[in-house]
Amino acid sequence: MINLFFRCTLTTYLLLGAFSTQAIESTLLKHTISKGTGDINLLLGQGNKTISPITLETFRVENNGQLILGVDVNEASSGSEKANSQGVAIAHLTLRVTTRENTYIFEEYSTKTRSSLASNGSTSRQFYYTLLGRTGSNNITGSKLNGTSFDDTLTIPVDIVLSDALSIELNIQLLDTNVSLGDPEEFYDYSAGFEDLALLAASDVQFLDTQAAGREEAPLVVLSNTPTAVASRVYYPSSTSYYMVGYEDQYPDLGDYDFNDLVVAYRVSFGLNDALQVITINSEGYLIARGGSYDHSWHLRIALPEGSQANGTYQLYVPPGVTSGSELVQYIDTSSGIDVTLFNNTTSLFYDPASSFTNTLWDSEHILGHKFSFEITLSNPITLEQMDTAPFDPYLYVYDTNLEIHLEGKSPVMSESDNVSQGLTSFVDNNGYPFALVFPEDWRFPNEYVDIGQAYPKLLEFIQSNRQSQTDWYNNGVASGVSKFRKADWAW
Amino acid sequence: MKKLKLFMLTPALLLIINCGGGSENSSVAVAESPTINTPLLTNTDKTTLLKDNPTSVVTAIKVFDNFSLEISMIEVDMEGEFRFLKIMDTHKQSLFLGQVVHQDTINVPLNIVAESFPLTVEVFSELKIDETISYEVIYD
Repeated sequence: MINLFFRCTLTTYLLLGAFSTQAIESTLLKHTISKGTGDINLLLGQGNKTISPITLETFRVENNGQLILGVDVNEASSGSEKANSQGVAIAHLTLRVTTRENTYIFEEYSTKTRSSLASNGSTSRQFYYTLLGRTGSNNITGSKLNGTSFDDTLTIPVDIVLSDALSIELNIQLLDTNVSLGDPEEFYDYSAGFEDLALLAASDVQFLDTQAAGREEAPLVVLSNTPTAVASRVYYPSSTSYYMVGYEDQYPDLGDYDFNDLVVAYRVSFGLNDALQVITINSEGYLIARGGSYDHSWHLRIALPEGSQANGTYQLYVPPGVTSGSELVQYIDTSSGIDVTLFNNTTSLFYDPASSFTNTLWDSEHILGHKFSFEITLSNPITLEQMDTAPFDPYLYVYDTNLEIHLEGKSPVMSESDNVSQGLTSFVDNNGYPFALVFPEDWRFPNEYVDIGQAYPKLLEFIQSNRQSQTDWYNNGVASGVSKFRKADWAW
Repeated sequence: MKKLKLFMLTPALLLIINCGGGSENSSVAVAESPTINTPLLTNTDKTTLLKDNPTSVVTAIKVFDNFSLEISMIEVDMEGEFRFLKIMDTHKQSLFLGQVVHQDTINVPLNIVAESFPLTVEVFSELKIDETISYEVIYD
């Protein structure tokens, strides 16, 4: 603190007992952080309701000589930021308290997390305190924040009594990060707002700090007070992109070989401790297209070493505009490795009212698909060398044939399927052609009935050269034979 | 799995890495090719339909390959308390990001396509005085 005139005497602390006996509820503030800057009058609540200095003092006393603000992090879900995890960094903060006699300026502050970041125009990184959050309600109940979406806490030590303050004003400037460096700067930029603020009662501080919204998936998080559990993260295929897997569901027949009978985008990341051992697994993805009449379920399997134990949650998100259903949360059974049914009954889950196919006809209107996310915590850390390798085992179960379809080299895993009994345990045909392929997210799958070799003429040369030439064949589709839809259409 | 070894010796050193062992049949020489925008082929004599072109060459039609990037941290000398490692592809998409401690050598398994190269590896701390060490990893 910079005391411009003189410090408060300790005698003023005698007042603390009187204020602390009164229960106090968290209070929303009128002013917000907009475009990275906030000029906040702490004596003005939402709806222009006056907040008395005595009330501010009660907040300060209840929080052990600190003003603690709740922050609703409200960033755009772009780049590596997403609904589950988004963040900003604080460049500087000034709290100015004016009394009849003095003006006090406080510039110390803290949050629960930091990250090493470069500001705009610089490539040198240093620590900045960060604010993390996610979209949606914080589930606070029984206070004035009930139903709001506050995420994180901002603590400002204040060692003077505030009850006789004439004004209490907070200026906060978020860090303008050098987004050209990618993450972590791109994640911690401020791209949207407004960030709402609230004065927090101690019980809500504890609740938000326990929730740690968005922390699990945020990049380069260093906890301010305790060792960081997830110290680093490895991404498959990357922090901001997806695998796109396409299937031919006529297996063991090649069918029309258009690899669009089901198309799914997904990505996976491992959270690592400081010994580079895997302690968490996260994944998310989208239904992209369904070009078959068969009904399927789509699974993602990540094998774990024998004896591994884990638990987690899975959420299925219903796309905007779909009237039925809502966000679902289910628990994942990880007793025999991770094998999650992420999209079930695809014909009823993902359909186009105007067609028997979804997003695979050249002239079809785009239909948004469901998306999923799951988070898994391993009971015991597993070394990276012991982990299954990407792109893991994304597989399709076809109800009509009772057969599983995996990537080449994988084996059937479902006891209820007929693969083993029919001797269908290899997922290539006699010529070595597969029934499932994984591509980068910008791959444009063939339109309905278009053989992948016709849609991508260089594929044949790639195969016949034993993968030595035309290695970028999947980027060179015949425009009239491949989907017109891109990531901007399906990612929501 | 291909192994890429990277030694943190001198900042701004451009490394060309030979990938040995592991994954078979993989050339990742990237050729620029214009987007094809021609009518679909209908002459079966010249068809590229896979079902019209049975081949005895059984080869994986996979696009992604697994690599193990081995990074030696022994020579990294920084003042800061923390060490951060970032690996990104040519599109600046993060493949690995976070704090690393107590490791002389770090092995990071990656699953990437040929056009992800060159990769960029950065080591930095929480202090401005520690210049970010940056390397490019080129697959040869």
